[in-house]
Amino acid sequence: MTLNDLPNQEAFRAEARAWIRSSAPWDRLAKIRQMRFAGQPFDTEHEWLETARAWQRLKFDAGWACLVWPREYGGRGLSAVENVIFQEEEGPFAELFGPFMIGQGFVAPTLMAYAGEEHKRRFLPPLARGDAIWCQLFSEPGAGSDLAGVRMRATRCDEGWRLSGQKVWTSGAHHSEWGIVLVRTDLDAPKHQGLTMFFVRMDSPGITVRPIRQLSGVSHFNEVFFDDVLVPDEQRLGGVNEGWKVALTTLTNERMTLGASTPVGFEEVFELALRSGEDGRAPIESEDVRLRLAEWYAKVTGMRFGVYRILSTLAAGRQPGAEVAVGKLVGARTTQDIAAYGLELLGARGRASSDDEVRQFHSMFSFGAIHRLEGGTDEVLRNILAERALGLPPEPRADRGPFRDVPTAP
Amino acid sequence: MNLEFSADHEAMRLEFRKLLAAARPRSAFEAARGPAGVGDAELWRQLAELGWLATAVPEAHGGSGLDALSLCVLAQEAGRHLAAVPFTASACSFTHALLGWTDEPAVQALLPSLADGSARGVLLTEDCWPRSAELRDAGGSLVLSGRARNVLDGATATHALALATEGAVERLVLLAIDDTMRGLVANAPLDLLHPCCDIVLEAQPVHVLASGEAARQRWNRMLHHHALFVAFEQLGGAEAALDAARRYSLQRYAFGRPIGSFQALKHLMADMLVSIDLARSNCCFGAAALGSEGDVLCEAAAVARISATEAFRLCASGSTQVHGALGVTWESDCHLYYRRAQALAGSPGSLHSWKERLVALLRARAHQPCAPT
Repeated sequence: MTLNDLPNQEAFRAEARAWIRSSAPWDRLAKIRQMRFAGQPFDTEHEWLETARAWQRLKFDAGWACLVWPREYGGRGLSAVENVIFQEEEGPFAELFGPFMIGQGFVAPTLMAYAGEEHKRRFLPPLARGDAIWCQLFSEPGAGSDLAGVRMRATRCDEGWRLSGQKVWTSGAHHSEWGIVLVRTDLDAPKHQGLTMFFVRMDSPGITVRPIRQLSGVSHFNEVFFDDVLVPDEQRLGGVNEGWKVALTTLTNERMTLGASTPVGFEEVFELALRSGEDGRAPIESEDVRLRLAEWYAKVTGMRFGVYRILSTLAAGRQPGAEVAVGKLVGARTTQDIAAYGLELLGARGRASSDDEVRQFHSMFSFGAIHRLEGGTDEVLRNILAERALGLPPEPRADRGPFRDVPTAP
Repeated sequence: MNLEFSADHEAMRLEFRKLLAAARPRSAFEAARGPAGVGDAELWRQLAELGWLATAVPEAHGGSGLDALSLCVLAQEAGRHLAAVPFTASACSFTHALLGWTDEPAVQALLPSLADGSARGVLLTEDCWPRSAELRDAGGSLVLSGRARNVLDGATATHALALATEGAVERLVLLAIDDTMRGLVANAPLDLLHPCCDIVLEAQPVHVLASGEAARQRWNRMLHHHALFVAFEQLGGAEAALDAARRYSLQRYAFGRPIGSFQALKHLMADMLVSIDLARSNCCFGAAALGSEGDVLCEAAAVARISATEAFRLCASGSTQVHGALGVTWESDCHLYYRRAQALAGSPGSLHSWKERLVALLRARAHQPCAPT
């Protein structure tokens, strides 16, 4: 039990801090801070991507990118502990991870587990350097939380496979070069046994990407249409009809990444509470405000030390349990609560995002709602905790038997 | 950074757990139905005999001299098993609090009695005093007057530590409590296993351990340690309450299914688990901060208290809910957890006071210029 870095961790932290101090894009700090909660402070998406790419390339070239990956794929073969230390030292610049989160956080572990050696050496280093952006084509209009219900078809042909159907809520599809895609390859098998995973070039003929305007007003995710898209068989990940196992690798990494790295807005609401409002009184002078701040702060430390507990478990050579879902479940709801309360404190000023501070709370307000749904909804996460951590019985199902007989409408 | 208890601590936990589990049915039953204010005298005797009460007592004074982390582990188990003895109050918080004064004859005389169970101490924390206790000079020796209200574990206490003021000077004092100072043991107490009573002091001589700024600092430090031990006790209680709910929900059938298969109950229990996970993380933060100076210990104690209080209350009330009508009778242990959760929510210090303490600390930090790094 100690709060201190071990000697080797301390040395790593000092080295990371020194490098970040001399290399990070400090001149863009104000804008980068506004990227919290999926805010879009840049004039164009291109500017956002290039700012993020520039930092990612600097990190990669100096050996600070994708620290836990093996060296041969562009990483440094370090542990999750060093990764968290680097993120802590990176501070606001960690926001620049945004465009690469899906590719590096969820897709890469899937490629490492299921792609062939040649593909790994070809695709992983550019992913690590930020040169290539990947997306995750999972959800469909009829398959969200019930992801194994995807209906997009892949059928065999002489050249490989033909993919037809629709994906939706695909973050970053419009600026991705590649994507992993979960499709149905057997309609007669039970639901989870007729799925296969592929990776596809996003500029393949037959793919159409259409942006969807989100709650915040920006279009970060898309609907993606596949019209008879040809995919060679060597772009298959895992066995035919074994795609569910592959998808679980992706989803597990998604929950851990989303839970561990996401701010909840405490610093923002605390700063707001300390400053005098238009009536000349700081909100923190109110008892109600203080009590809420304390509740949120106890959640923030609970989540932070929850991550450290997971790291301690990993460092001891054991695997953490389903409790890794707690951080995302608590964090998303807390963000939503803090945003609503912050906007209430801002009063009339909060009704339009005319300055950076208000804009931040608007971003948080949208992000909180989205974050409770993405990467496992609150309800799915509660089921996971109940079934896997507590051993309670699974939900009764009406989707056993051949997939083609599963009811889809009243 | 490492937030795991050592293998030795975990081995000790299992040993202590075995003892308490064997004693539990009798302990809870007798303490709840037996004569008021006694608790489980048999368990207390066992704990003394097997050396558990001497865990924190230094080896030089006949104890095991184990660290405060051991006390966190033991407090958690005491909470889990509804031990009807003042273990956390006396063997953890009070004994640990005295360790700064092992040079003092008064403390040296007390330590063996704490180890053999004949002495039992409590901290008279702010939630007991409606007004601050009054300390005055009576012919060269200091005496304390005041009434501490419904002190948890007060009915069995023989000694107490308190912070009192003499004029403008704060003093940290140690005092002995005898039967004449105890009020009647409270009738129909909220917490059946830890009988409370008033402690009425009329010019009671005290032994001064520290004065002025040092008294406040050392009192705060022992209060933060006490809060942390109690947070671990709350964590153990919350874990046990959830575990009972989980087991019952798998056995009890309704509509042809175990009730634990209904999503409404699964989600309730998942929320209980979440509250426990947050509390455990904050308690581990506190355990790792035990040796820290300055405001880190205060921060850790406050967040541990806040989240452990919330977890124990949610889990105790949730467990009662899952047990249905059985949960609101004396046929199950639900009511004992439910009562204990509420009693501990208010002592040491109300939930409200810990939140205020935490925010005051964060404000003070925000006003400090950042140290150059």
